[in-house]
Amino acid sequence: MIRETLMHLHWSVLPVFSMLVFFTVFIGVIFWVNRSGSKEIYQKLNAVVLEEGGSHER
Amino acid sequence: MEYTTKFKYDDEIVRKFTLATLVWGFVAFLVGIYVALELASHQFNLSLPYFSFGRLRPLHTNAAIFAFAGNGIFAGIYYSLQRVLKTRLFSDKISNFHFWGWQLIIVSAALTLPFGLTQGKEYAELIWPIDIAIAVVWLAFGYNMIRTILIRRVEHIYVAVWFYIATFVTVALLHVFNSLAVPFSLIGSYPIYAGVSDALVQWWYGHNAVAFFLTTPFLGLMYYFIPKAVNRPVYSYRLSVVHFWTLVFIYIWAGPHHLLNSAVPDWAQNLGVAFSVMLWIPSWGGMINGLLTIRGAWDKLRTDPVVKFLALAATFYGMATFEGPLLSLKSVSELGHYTDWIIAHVHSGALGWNGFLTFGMIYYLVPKLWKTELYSKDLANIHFWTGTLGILIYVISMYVSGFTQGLMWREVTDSGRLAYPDFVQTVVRIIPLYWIRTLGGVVYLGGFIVMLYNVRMTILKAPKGSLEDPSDEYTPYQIAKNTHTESLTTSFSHRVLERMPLVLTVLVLVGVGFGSLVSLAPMFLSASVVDSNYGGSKVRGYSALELAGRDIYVREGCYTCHSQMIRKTVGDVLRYGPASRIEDSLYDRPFQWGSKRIGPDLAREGTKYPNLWHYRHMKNPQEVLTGSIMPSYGWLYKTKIDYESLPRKLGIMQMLNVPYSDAEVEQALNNAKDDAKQIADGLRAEGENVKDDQEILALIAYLQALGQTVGGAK
Repeated sequence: MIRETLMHLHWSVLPVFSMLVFFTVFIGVIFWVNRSGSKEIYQKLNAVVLEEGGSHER
Repeated sequence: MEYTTKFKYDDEIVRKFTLATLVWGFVAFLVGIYVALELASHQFNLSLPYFSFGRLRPLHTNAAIFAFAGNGIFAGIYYSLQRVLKTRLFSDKISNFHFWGWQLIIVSAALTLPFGLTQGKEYAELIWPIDIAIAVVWLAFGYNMIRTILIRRVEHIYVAVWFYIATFVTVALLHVFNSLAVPFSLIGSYPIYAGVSDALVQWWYGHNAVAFFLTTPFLGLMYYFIPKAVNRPVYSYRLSVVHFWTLVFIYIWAGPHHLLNSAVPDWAQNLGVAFSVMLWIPSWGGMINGLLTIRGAWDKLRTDPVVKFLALAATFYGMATFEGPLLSLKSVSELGHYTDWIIAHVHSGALGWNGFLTFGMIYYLVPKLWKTELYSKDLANIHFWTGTLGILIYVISMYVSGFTQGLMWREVTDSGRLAYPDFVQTVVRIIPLYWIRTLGGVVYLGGFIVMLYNVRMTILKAPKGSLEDPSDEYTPYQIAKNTHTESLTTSFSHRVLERMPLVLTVLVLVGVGFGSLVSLAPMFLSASVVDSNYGGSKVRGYSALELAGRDIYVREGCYTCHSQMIRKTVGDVLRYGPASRIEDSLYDRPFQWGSKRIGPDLAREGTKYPNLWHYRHMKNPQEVLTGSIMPSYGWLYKTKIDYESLPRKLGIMQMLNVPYSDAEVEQALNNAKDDAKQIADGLRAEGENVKDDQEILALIAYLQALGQTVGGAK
């Protein structure tokens, strides 16, 4: 039955459906990076790349 | 609690990949210049099969993408991965297996492609045994990376590593599913997909090879090397997180924008367009994040060649990712697709973004890896300006060429007829631009040679024995309470979602898997895609001789110059006839729609010219068509048709649902010989000296079948 349904589905709804899914993800990520307490975490993390310690590093 | 740990990074593997990048970069650029020359003057094809454009062009693209960029990626990933994770790579043996395996794959590609051993799918040309080798080596790379992440000394996984994880997961997925094929010999195979399904899967792969081989790993490198080069933190870590997830989620959907105005169903095209336009958001977010990381250190743009290269690379990334979505709009695609505009777009990305980021990275790495100073900043600056000039000469000439082609192809007179009905008229017009393009390539290569010299002198300048200096052997790293890593342990959600490599891997897989499934599955499930009544009868499979000819067409890389897709555009329909439909290539394995028209579309070439015309044209194109830049295919008049393999090939096609009867499969050899003799008899009657087993006969049979497999015609 599932296969039959899929075979006769009107696929033109896909772009709209997919965009809704994307915007949900996008907005979700925006909320995620702005969650409570994230500012302090990210402020510290964005410098992690500079901490290496090797004597021949810049 | 506080303690200090000492460990040694594996820089030897980084040095190997760095040197391989330089070697293969030289090869890729050199072959690129040679194929550019072949378009400027067909004489450069040398009338030899191993030097023909159709065979060398895939060698150029594979060398540039997988050999030059690939080795560059691995060098950068292995260097940065160890340092942001504060640990040595998990296994030296696997690292070395990865390195030598990858080089072996590249050498195999270089040996097979000029011999016409190809699957005929763009950027996935390599034959099935090499495909398996790629999968094995790629999995070794991924395993080594994931295990390295698991033994890290820091808790957090820096965002660059996220991009590396996405690269590993998605490329594995793309490569495996796009390469699924049924072998008919040790070197030959047919893909399990056909026609429009093959096209959608191929461009799902092709587009995302750009996304996840030429973009996400380079973005990871950007997030590492720009902060290192300017000694400043990333402008916004938050933005990098948004950049990552939106890019991973969106990119995978955009493949169908390579098939606009084609026979692909509209919903699939619209899906591709919508997601392509949305790509502007993460792409520009990432570019801005990269460039703003240089804030406060702009003076280094004048003084530090590393920063120059990296900044211009990010700028080219912004330009290319602005242009990509623009080209994915149907109306813009109508003008730009199949033209040199795409070549300009691709090369601004490859030479500017991938090339310059790799160069910047190497200028940064080489002095550190060999523990010395760069031999000459002046030479690095000369490389920068020469490379920039080379890119500009290249892309500007190709933009002009592309606009010229696109406009000439569709220009109509007041009476509604094509203003330039002969395709060759549009070819002749752009030849000077092909010479200028070649010059651009030479200038770019010139800059690269300066770099080779500079790197060589830098390595020679390194104090002897410096690599074995015990005082610099181990990197001390202090792990202590109250460092940034410890302070994060309180956040459970952060720990789960941003620190666990397996969770990240699964999330990436869900993101790209969902997009892939939704955008591809309907083609395999929908009942309404194929109109079996189109043309009044069912579609037939190719005859045995036509199939043999098709294999020759694929072997010679004809798709690199000729499309087989008449788009639903006025210019295409006026020039080539009714727009192509899905049924026209229903059993085409692989599909041969192409992506570039250096010559005319061939979708409805069948019966357009007599056999004699093709016979003479393939032998000496310029004799038949003044101004043609097509090379001579003289060897097809000497090599013999492989009749013996035909029953096996038709049997596999039958297994893949091509409607061959058992008798057709069993009699394939005799049928093919009969058909070849019939064509040869006709040519002999016209005065040609033809043998019954010349490969050209099979190719003629195939060309005459194009557009003729629907409607009951044979």
